[in-house]
Amino acid sequence: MVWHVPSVGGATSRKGTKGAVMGNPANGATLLTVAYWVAILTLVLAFSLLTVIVLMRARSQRRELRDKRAQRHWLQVMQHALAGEEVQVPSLRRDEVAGFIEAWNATHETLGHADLAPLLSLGHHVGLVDAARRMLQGNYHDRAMAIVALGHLRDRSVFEELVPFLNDRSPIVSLCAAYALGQVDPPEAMAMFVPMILERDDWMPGNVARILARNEDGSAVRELDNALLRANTTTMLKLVRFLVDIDPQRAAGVIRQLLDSPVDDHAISICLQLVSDKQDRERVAGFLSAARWHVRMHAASALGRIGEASDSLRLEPMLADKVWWVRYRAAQALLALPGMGAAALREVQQRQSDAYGRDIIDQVLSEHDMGAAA
Amino acid sequence: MNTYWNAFVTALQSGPWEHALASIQWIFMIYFVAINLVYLLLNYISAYQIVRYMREYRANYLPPGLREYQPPVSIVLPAHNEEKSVVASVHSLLKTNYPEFEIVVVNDGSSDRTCEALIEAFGLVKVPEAYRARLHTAQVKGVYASARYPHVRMVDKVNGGKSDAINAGINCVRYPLYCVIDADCILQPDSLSRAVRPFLEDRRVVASGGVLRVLNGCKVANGMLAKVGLPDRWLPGFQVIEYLRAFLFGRMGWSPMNALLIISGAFGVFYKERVIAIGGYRDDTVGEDMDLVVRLHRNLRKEKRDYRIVFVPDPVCWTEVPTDISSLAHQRVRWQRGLAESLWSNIGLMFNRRGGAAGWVAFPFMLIFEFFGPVIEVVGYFSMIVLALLGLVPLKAFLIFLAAAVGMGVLLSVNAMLLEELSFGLYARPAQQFRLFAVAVLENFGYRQMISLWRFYGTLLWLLGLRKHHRWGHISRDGSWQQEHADGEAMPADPVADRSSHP
Repeated sequence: MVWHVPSVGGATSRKGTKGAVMGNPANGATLLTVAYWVAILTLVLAFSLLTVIVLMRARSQRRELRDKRAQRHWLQVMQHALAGEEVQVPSLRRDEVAGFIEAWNATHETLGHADLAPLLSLGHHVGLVDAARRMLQGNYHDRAMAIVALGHLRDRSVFEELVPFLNDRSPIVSLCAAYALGQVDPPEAMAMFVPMILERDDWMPGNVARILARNEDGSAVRELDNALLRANTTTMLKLVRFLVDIDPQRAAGVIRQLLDSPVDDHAISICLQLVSDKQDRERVAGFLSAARWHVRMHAASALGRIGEASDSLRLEPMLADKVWWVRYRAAQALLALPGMGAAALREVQQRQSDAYGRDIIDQVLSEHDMGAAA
Repeated sequence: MNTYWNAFVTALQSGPWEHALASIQWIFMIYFVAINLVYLLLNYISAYQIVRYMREYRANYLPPGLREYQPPVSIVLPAHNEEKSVVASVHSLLKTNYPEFEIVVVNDGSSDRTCEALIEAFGLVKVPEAYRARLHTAQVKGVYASARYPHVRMVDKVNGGKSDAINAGINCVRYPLYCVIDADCILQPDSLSRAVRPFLEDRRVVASGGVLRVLNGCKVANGMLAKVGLPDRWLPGFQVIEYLRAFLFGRMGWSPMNALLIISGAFGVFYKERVIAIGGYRDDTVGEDMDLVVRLHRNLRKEKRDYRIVFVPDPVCWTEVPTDISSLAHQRVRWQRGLAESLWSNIGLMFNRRGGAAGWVAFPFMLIFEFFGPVIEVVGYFSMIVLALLGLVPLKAFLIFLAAAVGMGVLLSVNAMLLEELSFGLYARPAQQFRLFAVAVLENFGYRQMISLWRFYGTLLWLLGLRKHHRWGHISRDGSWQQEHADGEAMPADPVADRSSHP
């Protein structure tokens, strides 16, 4: 067989005495040429990538160090300012901006209700607005950091500049913008943000709830109310979940309305999980005999939260339900009723003719004992 | 001797089967080009994904979301003869910062003191749990709970294998999402929230997996990862680069097409009801983790559901890899058999009318490159050696082919290193990067061939139907991370591993 070593490989060596087994001698040669170039290219590429990696590493280490130093320095300055000391500061150098903004955002997150004035004047003094504006044009990380930083500054003049970011494709950038706008001008911001909650499925509910919870002037509640007026069942369910966190009273009204309207079992289940108003006892009890087991289960749990001692008569039959979860939640609900204790539940257990019912009470009581001791 | 040899060679050279060997070389070459192109393609897909992912989650730009919006998660921890590590694992799990979780340890009929160790450490007492066997398992002897640790429960059952243990755990968990974790893994405090995040962002998600990293060489303090490092020895070192490649683009690349076929058994989050609907984990395979995911694809596709099985590039789980040759061999043979079993028992997914990318792209890929791959590789190496011995391949040609293979291998490894650097930059010192690179080069001379051989052997075992009942894949690990004084202490010398891992 003949392996034609290509000329690029140096001297051509021909070995073997027989004809080419690869069919065509050129075939073997092509193969080798390809292999040769593959080897060269991949190795060159690999080494250059390694160089890139090491350079990137060195650069990011340098930056990290620089930002850390600036951050440490400015954290101290901010603490001094907050403590009411007079601080003399020059405006920010370019290489300090990233570190300053880190320190700025971190300080604000830990503040709570402290007096912001000295911090805000520090921010204006060092030229945060201009520095952050420049960062808004930068890469993703810079943009998100700058948006949040401008929000903390509460400067009405940047509001219009931040608005476009509310529609950013990235869930994080758009939520950062909502968070920032909510600090700069709460009523305006909530009027824009709340209607968007329904459109953005990529916003994580926990983050949306946090932004709504930060709103203090009641505009979030007002906007949720407005949105609910125009909502259909599906969108109502999504919004009422948030309303429960910030205004349970109003939420109870919406939940009542949903429970009374002909909605599907899934919606009923969600409402039952949110019910917390004692007024709704009868309404909830009506679902204890629902056809779908998850409706029965959530009704039992809800009754445990809002029920009276007399509701034990309604819950007891549920201990013999054919679905484990309904029995389990019913037993837990019984135990949670006012006036019902471990001893009373034992009595209920004595009355059960159904073995499953007795077993589930055993389990719930033992869990109760464990939890009580914890 | 020499004359005999020459005569032998001449005889061989005149044989007709030489044509066969040469055409095998062609198959080998085509296979080589194809597999590397596909891997490069996957590499670019996952690079795009990871860069996008990192943009969003590199830092916590927003104040943390309200905790009540995180769905509760049940952690299932199957354990069989883990008396040394199981208590530490549970303590490590208890340190998670996840808002609402429970831990269900399943003691699968251990013959050592696993059960007693747990009872002592957590003050467990037998409770009258109304246990429901929604999935059929070996007999459950009792359920234990603790007053001191209200999040911890233990299911004590008759031995039935890992799948059986997980199934019993699923029967017992309270929450709709469960996370299955190997008893010898180390998590990070935010591992769970990262793996659960896809479920919050997309309602269609039914399962999510995360990146496994090599724990050897890292420092662990109080059951948590304290410092990331590289192992000193070569054998675990090779596995570091192997895991980087496998997870950063072997898995991540498939996720955007919704064609991810493996979520490692060591860490994955699943929707309980979806798993129960397909009958839970199968206990007649050694690759129960892959089998489950492939079966999820097959069934959800058959039911025409819009679903997602996703992968997060975060390093969520750190696992100790084998440090001696025989454990590693055992592990790889087992993995290969698991792969074969998972693929062949779900062959209906391939080229199914509704198979989607999972059935039309990922499944054939797995079959050709992961299942047949080792066979082709071993035959390729073998024929190359024979041809070289017969003098049919000049040394130069042999070296060129070798260089091409090594170059391709190194390039893929360096790509994985670049992805790691772009995303997490965990191996922070340039010295570590050089070390990784050295490992990436050296693994091509011996280690990869060795792995191929074991996988070849695994395929053979499966083909011959030699299904020994290995129900727990036990690997002897040195457990050095569990010694708190690991600082500065050399790992126990292991002559076998040292000798053979130097190529």
